[in-house]
Amino acid sequence: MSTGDTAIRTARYLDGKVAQEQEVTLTLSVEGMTIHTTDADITWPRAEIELVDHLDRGARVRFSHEGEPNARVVVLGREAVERCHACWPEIFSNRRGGLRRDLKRLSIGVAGLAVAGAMAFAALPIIISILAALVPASTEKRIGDEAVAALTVLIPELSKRCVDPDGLTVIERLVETMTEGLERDTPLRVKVVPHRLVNAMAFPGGQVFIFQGLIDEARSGAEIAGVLAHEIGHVHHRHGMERLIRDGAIDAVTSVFSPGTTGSISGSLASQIASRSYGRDAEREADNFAIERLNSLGYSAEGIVDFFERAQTRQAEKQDSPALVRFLQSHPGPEDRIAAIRSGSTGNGQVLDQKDWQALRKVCQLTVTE
Amino acid sequence: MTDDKKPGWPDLDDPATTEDADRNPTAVVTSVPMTAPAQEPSAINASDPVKQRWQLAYHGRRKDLRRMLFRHVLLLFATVGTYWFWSRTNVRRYVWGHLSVGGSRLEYGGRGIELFVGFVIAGLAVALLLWALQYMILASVGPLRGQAIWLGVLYLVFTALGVLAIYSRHRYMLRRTTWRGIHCDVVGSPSGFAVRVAIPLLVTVLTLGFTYPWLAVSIQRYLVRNMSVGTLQFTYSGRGTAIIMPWLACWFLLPFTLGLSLAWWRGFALRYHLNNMQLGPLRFETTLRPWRIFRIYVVGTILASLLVYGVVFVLTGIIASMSGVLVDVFDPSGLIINSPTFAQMTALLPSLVFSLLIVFPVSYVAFLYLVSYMTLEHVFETTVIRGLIDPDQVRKVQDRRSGPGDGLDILLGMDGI
Repeated sequence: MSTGDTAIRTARYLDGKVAQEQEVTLTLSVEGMTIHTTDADITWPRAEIELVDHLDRGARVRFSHEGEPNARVVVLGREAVERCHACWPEIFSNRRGGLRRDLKRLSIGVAGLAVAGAMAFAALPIIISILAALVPASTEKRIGDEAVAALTVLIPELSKRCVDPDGLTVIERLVETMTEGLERDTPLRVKVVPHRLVNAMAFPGGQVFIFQGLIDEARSGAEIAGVLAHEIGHVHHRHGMERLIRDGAIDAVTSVFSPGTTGSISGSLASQIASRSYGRDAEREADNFAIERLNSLGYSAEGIVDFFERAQTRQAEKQDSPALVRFLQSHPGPEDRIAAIRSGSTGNGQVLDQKDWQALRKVCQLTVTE
Repeated sequence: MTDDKKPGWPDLDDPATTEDADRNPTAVVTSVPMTAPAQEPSAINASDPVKQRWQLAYHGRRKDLRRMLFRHVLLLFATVGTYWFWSRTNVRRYVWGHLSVGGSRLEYGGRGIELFVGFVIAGLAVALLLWALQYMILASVGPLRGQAIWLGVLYLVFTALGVLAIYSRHRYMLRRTTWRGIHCDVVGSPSGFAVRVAIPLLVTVLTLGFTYPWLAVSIQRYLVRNMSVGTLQFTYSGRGTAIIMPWLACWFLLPFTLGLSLAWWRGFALRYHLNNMQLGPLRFETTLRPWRIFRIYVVGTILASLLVYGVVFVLTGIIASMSGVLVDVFDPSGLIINSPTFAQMTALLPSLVFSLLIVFPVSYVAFLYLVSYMTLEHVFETTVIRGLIDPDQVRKVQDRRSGPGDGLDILLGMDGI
């Protein structure tokens, strides 16, 4: 055997079958290496040699062979290692365990995950609405009542009601018209609350609150009708229940995939962003429900448009929000909604006549505490 | 050490040393490598099976690891944390590869991609499980009344997962470990492990930790007895009653030491478990000092926290001076839509993400090096293996098992190497 310049005597061989290490001589060549053991000469072709690791600051390397994954050749001594390196430089640049080797599989995996994630994200609303529909009506009602009770601690006026009989009659009639033909297992309960908030809210189980502030702010019955239709849309689509289920999913995913403190901060940010983006979809769905309802009744949806336009002006006065903030808000930007409603509205009938509108405006002249 | 060596006989953790120790059975076998004469014939020859002593010697250098971890911090930052799985893998490869047992280095054959896949699978499974449980509670009793039930369920789920994580991490690491080309293996199953530790765990929870040694020994016994290197089987002879007194002392001192007595216990338990472990006829003996483990833990934690908080402090300063906002950014309420807090938060989002990308790698690397690595180093320095063995009797049982890595321990934030 040739043991000239290419022979390495500081090497060991492990056959991968017995825990016995033998001293061997290696013959290096550009074609590969020959391992001279006491029993036989074993040849490892260059293309099948792999670098397992590079230890002791370059003074020890281990090689393996594709055909015998458990066998090892250990080369000892810096000089010997350098000779191996000079002989097969490419084997040294493709070490096992490095990110570079896994990069292909990683990118396939990440791409697969992204596709699966996008599909799951797209399918999630459907799954959530099925799950929401499976919740018994009695549970949904109780959940809504609990949520109202919790919010009453923050807004005590929630326990009060505007009960002026003329105004109430108008609202009841409005609700009746809006919900005609809709299937519901629990009755819709619409209540007017004497509070200055310019808003309306829908809770799981069919409770809808209209705040006095909204009625004061509105300039026509069409505006109230539009907002009411929007809130009934939330109830109809079980958005409250869906939101609870969806938040649970977002919570589960973000809490699991973001361990530690740094993770929990980014996790809460991610869940807020995800939650808000879903929120916008719900608002759009409620808008569409309102437009459809108003259209089918032959009423104009312009009332909501007027309302939004004023809200938009108010918001513009209040703050100049950057584009990123607008993107992250739970409601779509007013201009988007206005455009969508304008293009969708087909009716032109008046929802309330002047007399009814005046009665509605005075609904909070008489209040009771529940 | 290995840098200047004689030609033709370059290695210090060489079998010749083992033979030397063999001839003097009374000689203390320590991890300090001894120099061997250049003409010493090899002790290991397939034709000449000699019973050998197995020494433990660690050849890693802190400086090398620091340099490696510094590079990992940069890579973690550049890859938005994805490099973590490869970082952990490479640290394990480094530590295993520089630990010599009986003159031969261990080999860690795990891959970053395996850890990554394991993490994704475990994460999705746990997330789905949590969501399903949450939905069931929501649909049956509602969120408000379900709160208490939910906390109980979470506690149970995470305790169970924690138990499974101990086993799955142990199994994955061992199955990726090779010694002299022979694969280590772990038999048993997660469910078998769960069954074995369920009662000690339950009793320990119910007695507020009083019977913990029983649990610790049950865990160790199951793990160790199912471990093997090829045909060589591990055994464990520890008993809970033997360590109950030190544990009780540590347990009573918990409130007075603010939990720090647990750091001492870690060292004590480690020593007890190692001293009661056997691999075939080989006995493990360690002189590791629990107080040293305590010191490593306390000093390491303080130093690492200082480093992490230092980085956070500097970053906060930079961000605050850039944006001029130092308000409570993380108002978690999110109740009021369009609140200025939310606006500020989103405006700060880029810098926040940036700091997380720096803080996470620094904290991971600091704790890994200052606590876990230092602990391991002390264990390696103080542990010897006694007994004789014929390497010919240690044979391969099976090839490397494949499959995804353990994702559970990562999910649960189990630290270490």
